[in-house]
Amino acid sequence: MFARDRARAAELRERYPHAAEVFGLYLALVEAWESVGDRVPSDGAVEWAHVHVLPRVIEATAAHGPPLLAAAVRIAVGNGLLAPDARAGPPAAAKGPLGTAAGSGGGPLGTARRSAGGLLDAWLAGEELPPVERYLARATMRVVPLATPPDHEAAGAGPVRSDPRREPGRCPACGGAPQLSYRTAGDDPLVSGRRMLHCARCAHEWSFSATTCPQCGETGKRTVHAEAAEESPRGQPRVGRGSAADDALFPHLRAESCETCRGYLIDVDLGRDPRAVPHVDELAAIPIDLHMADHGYTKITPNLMGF
Amino acid sequence: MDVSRRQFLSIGSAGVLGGSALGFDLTESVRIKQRLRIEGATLSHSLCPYCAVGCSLIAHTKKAANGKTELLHIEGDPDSPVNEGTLCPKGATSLQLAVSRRRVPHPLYRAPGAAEWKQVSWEFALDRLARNIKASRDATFVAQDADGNVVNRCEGVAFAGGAAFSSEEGYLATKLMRGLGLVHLEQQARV
Ligand code: SF4
Repeated sequence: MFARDRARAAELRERYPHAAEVFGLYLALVEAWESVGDRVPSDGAVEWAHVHVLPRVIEATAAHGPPLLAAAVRIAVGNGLLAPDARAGPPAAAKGPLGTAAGSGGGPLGTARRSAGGLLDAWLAGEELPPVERYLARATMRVVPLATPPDHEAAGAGPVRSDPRREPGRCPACGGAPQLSYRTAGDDPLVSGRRMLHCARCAHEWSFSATTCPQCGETGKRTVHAEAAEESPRGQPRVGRGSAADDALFPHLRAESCETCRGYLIDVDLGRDPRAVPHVDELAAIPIDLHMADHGYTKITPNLMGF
Repeated sequence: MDVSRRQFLSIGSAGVLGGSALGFDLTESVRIKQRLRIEGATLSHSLCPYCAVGCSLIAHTKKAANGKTELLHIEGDPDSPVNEGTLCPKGATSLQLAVSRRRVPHPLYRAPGAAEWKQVSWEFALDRLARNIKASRDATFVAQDADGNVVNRCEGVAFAGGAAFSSEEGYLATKLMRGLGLVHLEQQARV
């Protein structure tokens, strides 16, 4: 199920030393996801993921995450805040480091989760979570199919589907925000592939306008930011679908921004690298993300690793 | 590693280590970012001017240092119901309509019997064109047809409009050619 992810992450870890730490952790997560295989139950998947997947994600993170993240997770585990049974509510005194301490009840991280919910439910409900919580929730829910989120609806939080007419860039399956966009590859260089969006919540993919902002719907004022070819006589950026410069570090990656809302997404061009796995390759674009942040743009949704 | 509660919270909210929210070491990424030459290009919708199919294009442009807008790249618009991202070879090279290093920037003239082209002034070229058109028109102008009907037409000159004509250019060309009496007018844009 994750064979392509694993092979591509291993390849990119070699190709991009700047992201070796990121891909090292990703590969450890792939191990964790594969270890649960296809045992995810169709009913109560979120509860099941909390009990069976979250501990493996924690284990992988503690062993292969960057030192501060690994230490943070170890502390939370040491405090009993990430124990499987904490979903029902930890001791009232327990206040976790991963979230706020306001409210009552508590949750898996000792935060102000509703008694019926926890870390995963909060994420499913679209709550704004601190980066570490968001990372743990996303890494855990990666193996849970969410296209129709029965647990979420059963939990009383209401349906999360969006109305695509009102929110054009939202996932038509679960209402989540897009993580990235990619261009499909064609056999013919004279054909521009369709633009697809990849959901940050449920990994659903859908076709979307190539020139519309998935965040605010703006149809003009679109900018692509790409590596310029050093040898180009006029210093032009190689932004199109022609062949990339030989010395390009990211020949198939670029950022697409909206000048109205200042949001952006990383775009993966499969026409330039048909072997790319968009949600894996996007993790390598850290220097482009830093460039975009320097220029005042905000990614529509941070990726699994927080970039 | 000893992580204080304060450090822990900083990972969880604002981020540490130069901006990585989860504490990844960004030293190398920052170095690469400083070295990368990333340039931005604006995307705009346009239409291929070459034929009546009217394929949609996405044009990539950039403001140059001298303030002029430079056309960098053209690709088919995958959202268009007309061409769905495809372009024929003419449309795919339509960038060269605006930007071509092979374009001849001066009029060239090859005199009758001459083997070489030589550069001439615009004044010479336009004057020569006007004289040749006038001579051909005068030589082939038909005032009356065989039945004696007044027709005032020029049968010895034909006009083929450029595929990249705008509506205004097409109007102007037609007006001018009809004024000369031309009846053979063609427009490549409907090929
Ligand atoms: S010339 Fe080719 S690309 Fe242009 S409109 Fe016609 S078919 Fe389309």
